[in-house]
Amino acid sequence: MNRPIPDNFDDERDLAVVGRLSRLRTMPVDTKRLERLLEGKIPPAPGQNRPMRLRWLRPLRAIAASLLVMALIGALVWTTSGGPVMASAAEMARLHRDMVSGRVAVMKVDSIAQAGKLLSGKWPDQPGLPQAPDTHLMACCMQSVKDRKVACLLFNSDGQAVTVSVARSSELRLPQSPTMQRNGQAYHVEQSGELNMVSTQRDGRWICLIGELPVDQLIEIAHGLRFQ
Amino acid sequence: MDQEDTTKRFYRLVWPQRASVLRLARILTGNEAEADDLAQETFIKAFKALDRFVDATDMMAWLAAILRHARIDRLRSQAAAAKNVSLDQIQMDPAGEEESSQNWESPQEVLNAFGDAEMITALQALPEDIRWTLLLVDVQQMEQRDAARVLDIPVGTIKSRVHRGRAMLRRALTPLARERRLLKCDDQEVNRATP
Repeated sequence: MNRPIPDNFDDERDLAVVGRLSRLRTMPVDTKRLERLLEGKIPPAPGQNRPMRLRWLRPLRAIAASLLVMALIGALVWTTSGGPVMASAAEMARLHRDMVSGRVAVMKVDSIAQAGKLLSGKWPDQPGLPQAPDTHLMACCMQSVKDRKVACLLFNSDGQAVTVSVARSSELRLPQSPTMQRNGQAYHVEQSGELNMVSTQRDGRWICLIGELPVDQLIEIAHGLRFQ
Repeated sequence: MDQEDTTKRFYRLVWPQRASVLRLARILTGNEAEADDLAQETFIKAFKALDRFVDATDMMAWLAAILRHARIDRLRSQAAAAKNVSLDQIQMDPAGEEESSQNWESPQEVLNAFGDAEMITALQALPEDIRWTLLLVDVQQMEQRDAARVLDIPVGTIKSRVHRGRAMLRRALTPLARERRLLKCDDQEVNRATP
């Protein structure tokens, strides 16, 4: 079922406040004093009181743990930096829903130039943003998909929200899903719940469109994208 | 539930939230020592009341409600509720708000120029009930209906407080933004003020 776009992008200033305040959620805090205050007032965690004779093992355990952490970080870096990653339909659907519902901080914009200006502050060498024909640009934001930067634009096409995401094709790859052809260009088609998703690569860019519109309409929009 | 089971459950469900609770207390009070004390009280109360927590419900919302009651008790006992001005006493001045924030041409840029400590200080300028609402909805990203449950008020009140609170926060930050020349009209204002 097609849902109308909620009118929740009415105030860029409010969105900016939400975006800034939400970052306080990850503000670092030192819990050591709190933990000391709670000692004796709450029973220790089961197994926390270890016999004295094992205490000499603590430094060794700390060294072993450090080595393990370093090995894990190394493995993580090795696996994540080895080429393009795939954005799943579920991931992109969640991103689309978050943008439409205002759960992620977006910036209200009404032109690609304005979006480009705002996003270039966060991503100076972004791969360029497209204008979609017969649509109205409503908002933009920069997101991270598996630690890869993705520029997201929320368009209104015939009253339906469509999120167009752009990244470098060296960073994100296309899924192993059925494809549809349009003028020699292949569009990968996927679905997540009520949302349709089409993705393609063009001029070194990974492009993904997701929304409740039928697949052929999404492909039509994708085909008409013109990059600045 | 015996003491051992409660302890196990506490360390499984509550203990992992200590940084979040402490952060909430820190932003609420704007004071590290006060936040530590408030969080400590919250955890002691949570331990004692843990058998009343229903599994599969939101632990952070439950802890936030305990923290709020602990805070109210503290404010009452300290008779320090000077800042806890009721919304009835706060009359937003729409014209004033408009005047103070109309030159926020790039609000995101302006807000990103402030550090966490400055944001927390600005939040202290807001009435307690408004601050709580922004803390739960905007900082904790809690659903409005869950925030309404924590604060024991209707969802409609949450909506109105969120709207007012964001405007009040911008207004609270405006002097600092002006001081740092982050606002569009600063130069004009300086020019006007200089004969």
